[in-house]
Formats: sequence, structure tokens, C-alpha cells
Amino acid sequence: MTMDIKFYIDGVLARNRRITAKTITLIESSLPAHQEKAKAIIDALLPFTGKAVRIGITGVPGVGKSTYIESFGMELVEQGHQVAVLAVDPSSSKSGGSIMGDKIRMEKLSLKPQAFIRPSPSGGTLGGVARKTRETMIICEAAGYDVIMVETVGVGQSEITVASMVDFFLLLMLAGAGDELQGIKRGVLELADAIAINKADGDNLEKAKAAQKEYEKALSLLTPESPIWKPQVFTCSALTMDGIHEIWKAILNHRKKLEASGELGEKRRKQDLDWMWALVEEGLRDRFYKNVDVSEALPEIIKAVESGKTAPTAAAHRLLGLNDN
Amino acid sequence: MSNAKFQPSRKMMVIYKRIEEFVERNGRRPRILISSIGKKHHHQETRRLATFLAETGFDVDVGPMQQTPQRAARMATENDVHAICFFGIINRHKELICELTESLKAENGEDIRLIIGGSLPESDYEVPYHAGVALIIDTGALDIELMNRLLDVLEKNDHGY
Repeated sequence: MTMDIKFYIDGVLARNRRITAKTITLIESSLPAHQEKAKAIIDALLPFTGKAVRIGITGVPGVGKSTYIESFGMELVEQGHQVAVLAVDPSSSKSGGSIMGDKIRMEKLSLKPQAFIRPSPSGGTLGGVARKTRETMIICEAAGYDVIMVETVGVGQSEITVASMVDFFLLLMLAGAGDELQGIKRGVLELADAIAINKADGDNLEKAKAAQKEYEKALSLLTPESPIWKPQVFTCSALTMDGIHEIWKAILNHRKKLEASGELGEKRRKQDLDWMWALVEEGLRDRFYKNVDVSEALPEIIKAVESGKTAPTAAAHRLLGLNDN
Repeated sequence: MSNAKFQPSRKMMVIYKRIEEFVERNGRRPRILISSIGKKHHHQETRRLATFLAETGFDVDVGPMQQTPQRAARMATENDVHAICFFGIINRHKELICELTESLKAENGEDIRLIIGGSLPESDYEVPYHAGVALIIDTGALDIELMNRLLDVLEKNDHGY
């Protein structure tokens, strides 16, 4: 049984954890009826949002993202913040299933009443992640969370999407692998507002400091995205908490500068446009697959391409033509 | 090489189809939290089940080791799973199932189905079933039969709000 939208709107605004969770489920749902409702809920909640600090956090598997978020989140909670963490986990392209273990390493934070942690399966479509994450951020902000962290696995494409919806993009890296700049895609490096060399503790500290210098050099070669902010490089340890506070200070400083220069408003407007385009693209794709003419002709066209009877170009042309009629 | 594709068995195709139908009705995959209140020796068991379910098409949440019923309930409601599969409670199942049911109620998660995992002699099945457990999973036998029973449980009133 689905409740009416007032139930969700009131529940989110009353900061009810269970209803907030259910609302996110509605947003993530692939059913048109659910999406219809989600849209109305988002519209009603939008006026209550926009003030939170939105942070994207990424890095290759094993870099310690979850542990970092645990330490960082605990620090924020102690300062009186309400923290929401949205973790996007890759779905298997074969079975469609996923394993989400983010909370294994966020044990302390996940128990705090001031924290809300929601892992979500990527569901195979990148466009889907973009819409869902954006709208889930809105829900969390309306539910009173004033710092939103979006965690993604650093493999490229999804980072660009996430960077387009947050205010501050933090890239976590490891020192000591020797080929520091190889591990991560160049494009992701360019998106970073800050890089943090994680696990800078014990024997690793010196290596981390050396890596810091390397990255500073690398970043100095890139043209900064914004005239008011030069990306910074930190070292930190989620274990000893060294450096965690400094990164938060940098994020706040960044925020202050964005606000003072009017760039925050500009950024938000650009994010809104990105959001619109993401919705348009998703809608177009949706319309294509739901088009009766397309779905009727599809099996035959697929077969024709598979058997080499029809060229992929001609097949695509025909499908798009069917969609236009 | 090109045509040497792995073909799932017919029975397995039935499972895939049931999951796809579940998605069509609910708008998402069946999502299950695997929680263990036991220590390390359950690690293998829980991991095997998690992998098995994810490979079949479930979204699987894995909780930290030694998760208390209260913590499991909070994670289950926040992640909004359809079911919790609880491990490592064999000798204390009566009291722990009660605690979990209470905790779920406190978090407004009464709609979340309760499953327990691990080897339990069948003569001991009555108490957990009586206490509201929907299914007992013997992780020694992860097979199609189990998947069918799990889907039976999840399909019952599968229109959560």
C-alpha cells in the first residue's frame, strides 16, 4: 500500500528516519507511479533545501573512503552537524545485483542519531544514478541534514556526474604506489577541489608527504576551474584523525569564498540546469524503450544486426525513426 | 570462444524471472540485510550467502560483525531492506528474535521480514517460526530450492509503502 504524498512530505520535514528512508526508496523506484509521487514530493520539499554543504568523495577501491567518512563524519557530528552519507555501489551488469558493505566501516557513525547513511545500488544506468542521487540529496537536506556526502568508487564516469551536483569534490589517494598519477584518471584529478593523501600514519607518513609534493606539482600545471579557488593537497589519517579537521576547514573556507563571490549561486543554477538535462535524457531514453513501435520491431532488428544482415548504423537509424513516428 | 556462453539451467531461469517480476511490481530489486551478531567464524558463511544472493540478482547489504539486534534494526530501516537475515543467534535465538522484533517495531520497520541463517536442527524450527521468523536458511544448502522459498517469503505482501 502506498501512502499519499503528504505522508512523505510531513515525515521528511519532521525528520522521521523511517519515512525519510521510504521516500528515498520511492525516488529510486523504477515504477512510473512511484516516480510521479517522488516528483511531487521533491517539488514540495525544494523550498526547504539549498543550505547544506554538499561534498563529493571519491577514490579508487581500497583507498579508505568509508573509513575516512567514518572519521570525518564523527568529527562533524561532534561539532553539532547533522550528516547524511549517500554511497553509490556498483551493480553487477550481469545479474543486476549488488553487495553494499559501506556500513561495515562506518560503525560508529552509523549509530549516531545525527547521522543518516544510505547505500544505493547504481542499478546499471549512469543516468539513473545522477537523478536519484540529486533527488536523494534534496530529501536529506529537507530532513535537516546540513552536510551531505556523496561517496562513489573512483573509476571515472560517475565521478564527473557527482562532481556536477556537489559544491566540493574531494579526491582520496594513497601514497607509496610509486605511480601516483597513473591510478586515477586525469579527468577525475581535474574535478578535485582538494586531494587528500589518506593513510598518512606510521611508516607511511613520509611517503604521504612526498606524494603530497608530487600532487601539488601536478595540480599547479592544471588551470583551476574557479578564479577564487586553487585546489589544495592534504595528508590525513582516518586512524589518527590527523588532517581531518584541516580538510573540513578548507571546505568551509571554500564555501565562504563561493558565497562571497556569488559563485555559489551561479554553481547552484548550473547544477539545476545539469539536473534538467539529466531528466530530459532519462526521459528520452525511457520514451524510446516504452515506444510500442520500437519494442515491437526491436527483437527482429536485434536479430538482423546479430546475424550481420543489417548494419548497426542502419538499424539505429530505423529504430530512431520508429520512435519519432 | 565467442559462442561458448554459460547457459543457466531452466530452474535458474525461473528464479531470474521471479526476480524480474518482483522488480516490475516493486520498482526495485529484492533487498536484504545480512547481519551477524556472531564473531569471525560466521564471516565465511555470511560472505557466501551475500555473494550467492548478489549473483542471483538481489541487492545485498552487509552489516558489521557482532551487530546487536538494535543496530541491525536501525540499519535495516535506514537502508529500507525487504528482509533481514540474521546469523549467529543459534543458541540464543528465542531472546534475540524477540529483541529484533521489538527493535524493528521501535524503528517503524514492522514490514521487514525476518530470516535466520545458520545450521539449526529441524527439531528446533518451531520456536523461531512461532516467534515470527519467516524463513530459516541453512547456508550449507544454497540452492534453487532455497531461492524459491526466499522469494515466496518476499512476495507475500510485497507492496510496502
